[in-house]
Amino acid sequence: MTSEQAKRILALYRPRIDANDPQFADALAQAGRDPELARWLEDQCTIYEAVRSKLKDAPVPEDLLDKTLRHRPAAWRSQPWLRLAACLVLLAGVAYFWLGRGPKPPTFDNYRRTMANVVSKYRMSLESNDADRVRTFLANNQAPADYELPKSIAGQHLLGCATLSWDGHPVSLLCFRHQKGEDLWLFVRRQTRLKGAPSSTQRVYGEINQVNTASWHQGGNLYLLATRGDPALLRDSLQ
Amino acid sequence: MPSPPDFESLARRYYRDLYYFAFSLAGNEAEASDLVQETFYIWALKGEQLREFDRAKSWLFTTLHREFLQITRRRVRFQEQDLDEVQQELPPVTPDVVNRIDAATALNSLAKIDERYRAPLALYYLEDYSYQEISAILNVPLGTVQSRIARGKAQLLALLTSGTAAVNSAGGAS
Repeated sequence: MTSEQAKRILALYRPRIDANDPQFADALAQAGRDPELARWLEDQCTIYEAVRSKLKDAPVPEDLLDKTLRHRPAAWRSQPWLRLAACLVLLAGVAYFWLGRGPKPPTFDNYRRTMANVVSKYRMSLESNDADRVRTFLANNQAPADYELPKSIAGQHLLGCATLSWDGHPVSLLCFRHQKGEDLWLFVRRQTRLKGAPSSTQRVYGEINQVNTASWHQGGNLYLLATRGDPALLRDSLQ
Repeated sequence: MPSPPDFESLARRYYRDLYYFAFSLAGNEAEASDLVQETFYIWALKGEQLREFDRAKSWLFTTLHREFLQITRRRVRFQEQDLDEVQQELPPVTPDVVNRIDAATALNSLAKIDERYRAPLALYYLEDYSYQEISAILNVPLGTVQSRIARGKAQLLALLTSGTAAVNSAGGAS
């Protein structure tokens, strides 16, 4: 390969990005043998970086991000919600089959039963271990975000969250990985006339379909903590 | 299977990159902004169908480019030349000349080169994609991509150094 041929090939060469592209290997080798070609290549790389830097410094409309975030499909149109809706329809169907009647009254037992089934079917809306970000996400999606986490729960590894709806009321779902490896799911909803629901911070424990639950009321919210693991895990976590 | 990246974090991460790409295609702020918004809108509707979420960025670039083509309804088919046939007469440029140009002018210049060269050249300068990846994003053969980049580069450097009048004499557009 002559230096002139190498120069034609290296006219497209980008430092760093194309360093391992085999189409440039021979031409780069030629530059290693020809100091004049090497200087030319160095100039070309410098010019490339200068142009790249200029282009990436160009101004972006200040309101573009806000507009982009506002210009999004209604939640029900996006795929995760469609899946969630399908999931809830399925759950409703299963509940109908189990109980042999139509829609269930909004009792705490029904709420707990539905949430216990959700743990095997839900999909996280946001994956993040940033507690502030999760809280903001839930608030932005009109789900309960004024929850108070028991200290032992707040210390577990946060995985993310999801927003649900039950009986027309939004429900926040926070997902944790316990230090013992088990998953913990915390459901939070406003305490709005739910028959049979706990009315104090005293924990009410139960088990539905191999999902162990603990429930309590605090600060206007109804909390439901669930795990597939050892029921002692809930008691230990909530002490 | 991992969950898809959430809309907001994806938008925050890539909206600038997509805007530069969109501006280089459309040549004006309003249309570029619309393209970016539309691209993320499509992501919200269809992005979950993507199986490899680490390719979300490429998917966004491909979608934006496709949207641009649909909007402009390009019907002209250009004859392409192989890279070997392209006369790559790069205009004499020094880094100092480039450094004296402001960033907005540089991006405007990219949007002024021949339309068919803009997309590959924007990806060439703004992103870290290989030529194969650029070829896949734009759905254009590899040789054509390289040919367009070579010609577009000559036009851009001519614009940056000599003003718009020089563009017609650079790159030998067919």
